[in-house]
Amino acid sequence: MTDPHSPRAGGSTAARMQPWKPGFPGSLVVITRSVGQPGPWAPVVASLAAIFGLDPTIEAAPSERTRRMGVVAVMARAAGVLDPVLVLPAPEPAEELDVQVAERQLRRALVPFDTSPQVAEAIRPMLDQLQAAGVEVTQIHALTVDSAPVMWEGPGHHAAAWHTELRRRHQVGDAALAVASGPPALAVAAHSGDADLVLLCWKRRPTEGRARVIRGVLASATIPVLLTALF
Amino acid sequence: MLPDGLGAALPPDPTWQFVVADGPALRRRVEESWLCVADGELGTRAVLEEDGDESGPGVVAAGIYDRGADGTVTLAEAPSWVQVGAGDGLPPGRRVLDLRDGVLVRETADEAGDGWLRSARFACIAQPGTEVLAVELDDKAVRRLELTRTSADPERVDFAERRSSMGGGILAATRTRWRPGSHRLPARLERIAAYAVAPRRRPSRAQAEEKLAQACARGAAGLLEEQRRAWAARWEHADVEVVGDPELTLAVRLGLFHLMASVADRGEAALGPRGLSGPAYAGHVLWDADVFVLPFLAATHPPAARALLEYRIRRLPAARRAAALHDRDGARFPWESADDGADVTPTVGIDEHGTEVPILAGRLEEHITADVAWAAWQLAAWSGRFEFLDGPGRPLVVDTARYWASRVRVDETGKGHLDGVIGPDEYHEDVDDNAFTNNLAAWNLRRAAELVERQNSPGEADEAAQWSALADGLADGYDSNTGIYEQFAGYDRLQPITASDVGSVPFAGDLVLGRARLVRTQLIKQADVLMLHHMVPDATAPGSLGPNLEHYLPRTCHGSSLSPSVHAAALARAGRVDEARSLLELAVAVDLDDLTATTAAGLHLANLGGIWQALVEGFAGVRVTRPDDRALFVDPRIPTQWEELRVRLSWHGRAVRLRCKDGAVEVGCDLPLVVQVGGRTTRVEPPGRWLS
Repeated sequence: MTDPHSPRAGGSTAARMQPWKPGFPGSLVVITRSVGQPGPWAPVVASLAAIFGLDPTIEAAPSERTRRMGVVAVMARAAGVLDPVLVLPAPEPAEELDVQVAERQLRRALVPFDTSPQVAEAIRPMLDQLQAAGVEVTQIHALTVDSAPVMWEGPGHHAAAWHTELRRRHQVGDAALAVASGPPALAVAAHSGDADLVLLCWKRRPTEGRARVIRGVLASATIPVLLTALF
Repeated sequence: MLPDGLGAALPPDPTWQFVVADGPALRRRVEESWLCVADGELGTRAVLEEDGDESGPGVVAAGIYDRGADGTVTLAEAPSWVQVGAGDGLPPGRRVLDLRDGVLVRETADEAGDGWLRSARFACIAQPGTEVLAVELDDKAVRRLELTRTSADPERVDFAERRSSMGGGILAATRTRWRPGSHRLPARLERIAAYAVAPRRRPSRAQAEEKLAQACARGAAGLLEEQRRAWAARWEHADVEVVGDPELTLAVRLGLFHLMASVADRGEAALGPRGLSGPAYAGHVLWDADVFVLPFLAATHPPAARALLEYRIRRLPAARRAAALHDRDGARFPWESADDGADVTPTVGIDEHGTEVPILAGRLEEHITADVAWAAWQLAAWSGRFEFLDGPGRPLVVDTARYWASRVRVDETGKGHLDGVIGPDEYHEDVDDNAFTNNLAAWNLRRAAELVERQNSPGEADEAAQWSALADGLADGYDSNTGIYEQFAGYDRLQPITASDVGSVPFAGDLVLGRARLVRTQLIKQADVLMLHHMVPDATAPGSLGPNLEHYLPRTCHGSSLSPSVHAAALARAGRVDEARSLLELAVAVDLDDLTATTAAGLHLANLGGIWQALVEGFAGVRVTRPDDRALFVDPRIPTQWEELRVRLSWHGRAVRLRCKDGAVEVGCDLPLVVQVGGRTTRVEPPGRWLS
């Protein structure tokens, strides 16, 4: 793994203006939230690096005081990176006590999505690659006051037509597709029990009032969160 | 520009040409619905010529259904007549649907060096089931679409058949002519297709061959000429123009175009909520056809309205069996029906999360039975003739009344009740004495009694007297102190919150609040009581429109596509024209902005019919009540933003043209006409005159 202080640590941004996209060389910037190494998540880091052809670089979180503070600091750091950023969860108590924790493999990924064309375009090739590597993908869409269709004739025909179109627009490959109601971060938390990774697209705008889904997911995540910047 | 050989294109006109240019890829299937071409019998979504089956059902035939392995009945997919290639395809390019002749033109530019293509297609409304496609393309596009193999055959005739699991089928006979490209001319493909359809037997190959031979004898250019004449004749009696708002005019015309294209004008017409423009609702026939679409057709092309009613007439035996099954008399129409008139309403469906939930509409949404009677009356009222009601349409009114008579529970005080129903507001299910259902049933009973009396049918006189008494005694929910109808027994005791307490209207109340919370509130999905004021204003208490608008509009989420247009009409009648215009624009946005997120699966035809009703019955104030109306009632209420509202329609056999301004109306006609405007009755001689 690359030395986090090398010029390549998130530093590939200096060489180009656009975010990374699949097929391009780049770094996988790993932010560990508290400890210097990925710990039980090392296999996940290695798998992602291999799947996407990225060179992992490990960074410790700038703040270790609290999880909430950690989220703000992590987002600020990630916003400055054009390459994918993998944020490892805050350590479990057992890890902090230096007790051996079983390693986690990358088997299942949870991928929240809104219905924007940008997210659909950005996420499709990554999900193709994950599935080609044998990772089970579940795409999840959360209905909120802002994202739900404003007119809904009800369950039955309308719901069936809506699900069909949602799948046709957004389902990638054999991914399972789930629909939840309520804030997306809560939906992710509720569905992440079996998952080993959450994959999220974002616009790298960590300021207050923006990136609420990212903020919420990072605050509650107990599994790694891969942030990939939208074009 | 049209491909070579079709003749000249019509001159550009932004109020008649619906243009779609390289939209986002996720919108492709929405565009396919917008740009669908149909001829009343066959509908073809605007799939690209090189699209394969992955785009979904591209062609459907009205009334031809398939039964799936799980027993569900859906519209069958027909063989395609528009597919000419494969491969990676070209960009959709710029597509223009000309509403004057129903020709969809596609032109791609050769920006990526992949070649260019120009195509035109139309469904012959004068010869339903006859379709024409012409494509011109350069050599690069020929290779990209893998058409090189086609060039071996300068002319070929093909047959493709789709058998339905219900015994019927769709057979397509196509003649394709191919001219390879040269240094002077691009390659050209021309296809004429003729379809034979049969709901319950194998379609006749001989019929398809004969139809194809006749079409080929006319040729593509001849068929286009015929097409233009046929569409011009339809628009002559149907056009609506909002002078001063060209965008609205185009949107309205797009809706009217699809309404006209979706319904055959002979035989029977099975019209699903999305018509022939998409697969949603499986092509099942609901009240959308009778209440929302039929009035437009009755007022503009009565044979098509008659075909809608013929669908109901031919399913009376099934409706009578359904009534008997419920231990009732008469005829009970199903909430959803398909080929044979049996109830095909799902009993279980998925919700927004994909979880299975029970669907109660088939059992409880019984107002459809009175809706059918109302539709029959509408056709007679617009045509000014009782013959249909005295003849083939009679059972639609009389047998439905018999059903209600046996369905009403009379309590110990003599009051009648309809227990356990769902009204148009589907947020509240299994309610008693829904005002809409009860009052429309009462209207149904009274009209049936009137028909019996008219025909002086002594054997039915006692029964008719009983119907009148039942109608008079049926709980109507009206409170004369407040002027408000209670939507159903107990509605007033629900939590009295308004839609704006929850969010910005419109919103889907069930998705936002969740069904368990929603049912405890007074929030409603769509017009329910106000639907009465819209459909049978003369059967509501005088002066009650205003109080009920004041009461129910703030409680309405507009969670249904059927809601905004009806409210626009009601608001216009109440003189609240700015609010009416705002809701009309919301109705127009239903498909153009994909507000239900399901326009990809077809256009909301009931909403399109509702838009016409809002404009004609709401803003223009045209009111048609009975076949023996002595005058056409017109009472325009025009927003200041509009210069003029122009309407063409057919009333009592007369071609009528209205130019409505605020406070004045010009009435044009081809035969003498009695009009009531502003309380004054005037006889108007052709060609017409201004009245104020």
